[in-house]
Amino acid sequence: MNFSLAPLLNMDRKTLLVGLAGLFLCFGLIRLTIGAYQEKASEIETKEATLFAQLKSSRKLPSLKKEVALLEREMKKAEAVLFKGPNADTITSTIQIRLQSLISEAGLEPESLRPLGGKTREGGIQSINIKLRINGSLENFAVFLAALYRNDKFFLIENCTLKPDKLKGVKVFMDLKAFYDVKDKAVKAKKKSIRRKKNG
Amino acid sequence: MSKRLDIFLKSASTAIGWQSAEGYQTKDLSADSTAFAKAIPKLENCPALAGADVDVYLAEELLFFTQITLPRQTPDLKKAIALQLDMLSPFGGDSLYTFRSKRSKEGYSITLYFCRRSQIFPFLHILFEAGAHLIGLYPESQRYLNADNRKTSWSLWSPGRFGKITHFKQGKVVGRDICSGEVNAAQIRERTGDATLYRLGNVEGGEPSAMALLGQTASAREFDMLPPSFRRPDYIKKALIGLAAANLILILLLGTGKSIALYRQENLIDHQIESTKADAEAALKLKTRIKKLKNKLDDYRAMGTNKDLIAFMANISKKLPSTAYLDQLRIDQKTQTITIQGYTRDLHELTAQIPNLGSATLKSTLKRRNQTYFHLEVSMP
Repeated sequence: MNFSLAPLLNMDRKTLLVGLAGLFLCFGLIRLTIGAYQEKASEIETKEATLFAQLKSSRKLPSLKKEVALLEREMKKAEAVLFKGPNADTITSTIQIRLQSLISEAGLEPESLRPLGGKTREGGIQSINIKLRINGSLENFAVFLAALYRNDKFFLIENCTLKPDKLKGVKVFMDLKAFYDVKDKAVKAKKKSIRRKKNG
Repeated sequence: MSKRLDIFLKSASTAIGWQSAEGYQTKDLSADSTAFAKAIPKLENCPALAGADVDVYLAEELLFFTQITLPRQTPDLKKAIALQLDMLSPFGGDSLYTFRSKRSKEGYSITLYFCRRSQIFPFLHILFEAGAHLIGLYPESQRYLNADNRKTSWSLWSPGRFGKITHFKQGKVVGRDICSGEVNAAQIRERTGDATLYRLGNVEGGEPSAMALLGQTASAREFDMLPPSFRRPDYIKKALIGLAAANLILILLLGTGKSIALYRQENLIDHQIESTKADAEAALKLKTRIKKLKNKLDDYRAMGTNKDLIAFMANISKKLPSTAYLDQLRIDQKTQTITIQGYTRDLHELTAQIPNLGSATLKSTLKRRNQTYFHLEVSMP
């Protein structure tokens, strides 16, 4: 069917085609504009979300500062219970000296005190196991325990066996664990490599 | 929709034509402009001229047709033709003319129509004064171009002593022949070939009449010679253009306003982001620090805690019967148990005390040398 809109609109075909082309161009431009507008709007939406998150974080800043201060205080306290030294050997020696002193102060007789090495942790806290054999009265042992608990450096009692002894009162076998922090990182690394070599 | 009228100006007569329900109607009028002016207001059974859209068509005998070629380098065709007007037009300075150009390898092929200004102007004045809305002043052959024959090749024969044949192809005038004497249809057909031949005026023989082509609206708008001074301002067109422009401006203003608002909002957000960035970064750093501190504190907590052995031993001594003696007391932090090995003379007394020790279980007993050896396990409180 040969149908033309040109006579109906009272214009020639060329004008009609140019008009249609112009109309399509307008539609295209409108589409482009709407697209650009939507893109911009979504960009702004993203920025708004970022701003909202930033404002939320900013509002929490005072409480976060307080929390950090609290945690740092706790941290300081926690750090104080660790033995500190430049290397593991020095620390092991310090721990033994401290234990000997506590034992003699409590009036106990040390039979043996053997450090056995310990575990290396990722968090930087190292531990050392100590096997302790002491003799003495039950009262003196209680004094020793009290001194151990009061001590500013932490000793974890893993095992404790008490046996009556006819001559000395009680015989005590203890597995203790002391914790330390090596300050020198180079020493830490050296220790790690030695341990690796030992393990093959 | 406004009425549409055609005015045909010929050397011997004039005519007014219009479409009606009965078909295309014509009414002959005088060729004398004074008589024409008098007849116009008295027209009966004919649409009024006032306010009507009027196309004026000039008969071939009033026109001079020529085709020339201008060089391709011609900068301004209109100016070039105006300069050569005295040479090109037989009417000299008294010419109204129109032209169509077609660019080709050889140059610009120009088709020109001329008419005598002084002959046409009185009629245009009369029509204008009568309130007609003059659309154009065309050669008569343009009236016969319509939607049906636009795409075909055809010829229009204007018979007479010096008959003229205008050739059309694809809705364009492609040539014009002037016959030097009386010719018949067969002679013309030799020249036009297969193209349909329409004849103006009275039809003799088998040629179709050009009158049949008037039934449709004229579609051609070529070779308009109407001087601008006779054109009525097209208020509707102007209003439409004005409205379109106003709409466009409104849309642009709205768009600009919206864009400005959007950009302002973005700038504001950017500014706010920038001003809160330092605090947000500080908060992020603090959060990381808190996480690290918590992890480290967890490490410290993982070291474990000591149970109060002194209190526990005091409690055991208090609760176990005085007849029971300890052989060994073993405290194991890992399993959180306390193993008590000892002996008693009165097992019944010991077992009676076991519930008071908390979560305690009697593992074994052995009777030997009047003593009962026992093995007791107590979970740490």
